[in-house]
Amino acid sequence: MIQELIILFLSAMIIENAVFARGLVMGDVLRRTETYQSILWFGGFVAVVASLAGAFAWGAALAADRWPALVQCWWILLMLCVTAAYGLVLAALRFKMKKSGASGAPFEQLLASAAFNGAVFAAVLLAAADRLSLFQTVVYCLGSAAGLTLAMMLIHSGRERMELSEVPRAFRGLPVTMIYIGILCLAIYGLIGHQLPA
Amino acid sequence: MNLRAQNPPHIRSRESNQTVMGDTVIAMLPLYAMAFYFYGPRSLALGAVSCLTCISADFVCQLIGRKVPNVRDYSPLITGMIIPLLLPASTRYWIVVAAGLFAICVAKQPFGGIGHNVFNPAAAGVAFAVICWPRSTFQFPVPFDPLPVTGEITARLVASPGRALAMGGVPTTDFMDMLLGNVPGPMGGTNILVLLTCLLFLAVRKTVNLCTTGAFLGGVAITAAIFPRAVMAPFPSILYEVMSGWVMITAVFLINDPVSSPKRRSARLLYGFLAGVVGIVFRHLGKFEDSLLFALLVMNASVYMIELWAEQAAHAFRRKNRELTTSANLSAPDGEDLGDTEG
Amino acid sequence: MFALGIGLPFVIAPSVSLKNGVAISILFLAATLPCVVIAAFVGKKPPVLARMPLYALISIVFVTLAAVPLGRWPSIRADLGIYIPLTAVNTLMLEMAARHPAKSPLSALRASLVNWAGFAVVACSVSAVRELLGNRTLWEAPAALLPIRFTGVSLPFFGFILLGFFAALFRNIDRAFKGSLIREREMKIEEERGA
Repeated sequence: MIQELIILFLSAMIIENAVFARGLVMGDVLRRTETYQSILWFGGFVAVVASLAGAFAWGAALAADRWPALVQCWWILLMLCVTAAYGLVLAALRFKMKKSGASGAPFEQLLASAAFNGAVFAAVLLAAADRLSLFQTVVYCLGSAAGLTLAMMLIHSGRERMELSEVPRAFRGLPVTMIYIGILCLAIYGLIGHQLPA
Repeated sequence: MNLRAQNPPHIRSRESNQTVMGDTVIAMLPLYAMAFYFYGPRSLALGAVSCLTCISADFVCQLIGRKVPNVRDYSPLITGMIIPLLLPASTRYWIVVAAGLFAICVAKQPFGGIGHNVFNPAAAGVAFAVICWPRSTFQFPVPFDPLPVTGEITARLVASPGRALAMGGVPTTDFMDMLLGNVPGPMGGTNILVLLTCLLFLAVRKTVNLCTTGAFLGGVAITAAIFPRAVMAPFPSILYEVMSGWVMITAVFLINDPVSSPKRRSARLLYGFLAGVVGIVFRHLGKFEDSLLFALLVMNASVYMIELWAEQAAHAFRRKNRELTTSANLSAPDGEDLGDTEG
Repeated sequence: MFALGIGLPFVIAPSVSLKNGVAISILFLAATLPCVVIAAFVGKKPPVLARMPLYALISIVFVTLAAVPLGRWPSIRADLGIYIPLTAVNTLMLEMAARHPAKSPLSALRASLVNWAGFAVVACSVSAVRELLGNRTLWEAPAALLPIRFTGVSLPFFGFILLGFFAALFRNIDRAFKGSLIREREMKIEEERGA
């Protein structure tokens, strides 16, 4: 059982994020995550929102089994689950910030970016599609979040390194970052061994 | 004080970039000699085509970037020589050309060219070839079977010992054959004895850092011993893992790339060790026969983080040391007995 | 758009053939246009942090409706897979609707159409190149550019790399164009001074 969960976590972390593309909404996320600390905060928010949303989606799947009409608006239902999870986490964050007296505005903006992110929605969609149990869904979503965080840290590390390099003018910024992510993606695909017709 | 920015490799001896690169080229020549011995003139033709591709691509990219090409820059030659050594001798020429173009035009030049590439270009080029043409890159000719220089390959193509390991079985190859290179495998990756000689040459010339190679092989050995891919004792598992596939050629040439590897000693040790561990993990979990080059690319991406942590650890260690030294000096100053108050 | 990296996932992953590129462009339009126009009407009335979920929900409704006709092309639907519902959380929509809503519906419509057109051009170009190199077809008709098939180009890594090179190319063209405009302006100023 534990072995299965570990495999599920690792596959969510590595394989599902092999694409790097689902979670990379780029622009906004890259602007808000300019330090390793902010990346960790972002990853944490993604983990919490995704796990909660995944749990709600598991419940929604049970409801859809009972009322098949819900399947027609399945995506809308899942988006509502993500919204509900976001609302809960936002309320908890505001409560915590109020108690500590600190300003929560940057965290709230980061939370909003983290919640309405391709990675969260994709994790919820895939977990629901695979009909995982509640615990498996949460583990899967945590794995996805961990993979996204790791990917963002690798990309941030590469961007810091490339800032110190003499990248040609035409490639500075987004172009060389795209190429860097492409080669990293190539490396991860070597792990999952995407079999193509030779 | 005049500060001058310098690109890697940072050499602190009478050697220059040219001598370092020249040593690497010389070290690869015995591998081509052995490849010629086992597979005939096709191996040399592949090397020539690959070198020509890489040198031309590098030249053109530099002209497009309005840079003056440096004739004494042997880096595209090195990339061109390494690529065929990582592939079977029966590889089609266009695969070698595609790998070379990817290595130079995608993995090297957009990042700023020599001294600035994040990823090892040869590893990236071969990784691209493996993804695009997995069957061609993991089917090997039998040593001493004649291979035509041009035209279709009609020789028998077989799997390497690595395939048996990937399938969870124990290879039936003799260790002595593996040591002498008399096994199907990558053109330059099977000659273990020659590779060790190359390593010795490069170490004596101080072109490679033995601690990185040692850490890498240590990581491979420890992981292979603890997690063998087949049911066998730890020692045979270590030997099979080290002597099959790309491990030895990575240990000698790729892991010691001065540009894509860390500079600080502690970072190099950590980098080498993690590369070995991650390489074996990739071999366990990967669907390809050998996923070591992909692990190397992931480790290349982590170099900056590793160096950052190593530097922070070094700073913390120095600070702690300074604090201890200062407190030791304060508690027992020289020649004065603070407790003696009686006259 | 390239500078902000907007809409990248949809250009990179599902656009492995020109048909897929066109389909994802249409879905992108369905996901973005209604939200941006509604946001222009609604303005800044909803609280900042409530705008994202609101427009994500509106977007997914329109995407669900737009995906219904895709049932006639099951192969395209299968290829696009999870990226169909993911268009509902695309950055362009979130930027233009949730964060910076336009002042008037007409300017919102114009801005979203212009941005979408840029996305569609990029998505279709990338898809076309990948289909030509990977399958040696274009719109599923034989169109061999090279004698070899690069099967790996249908993987997302190639999409990233291709996009990086396109971005560098467009940047160069843009700089050359701006440079020529600046030179023309300087020449005009000099002529006026001389006159």
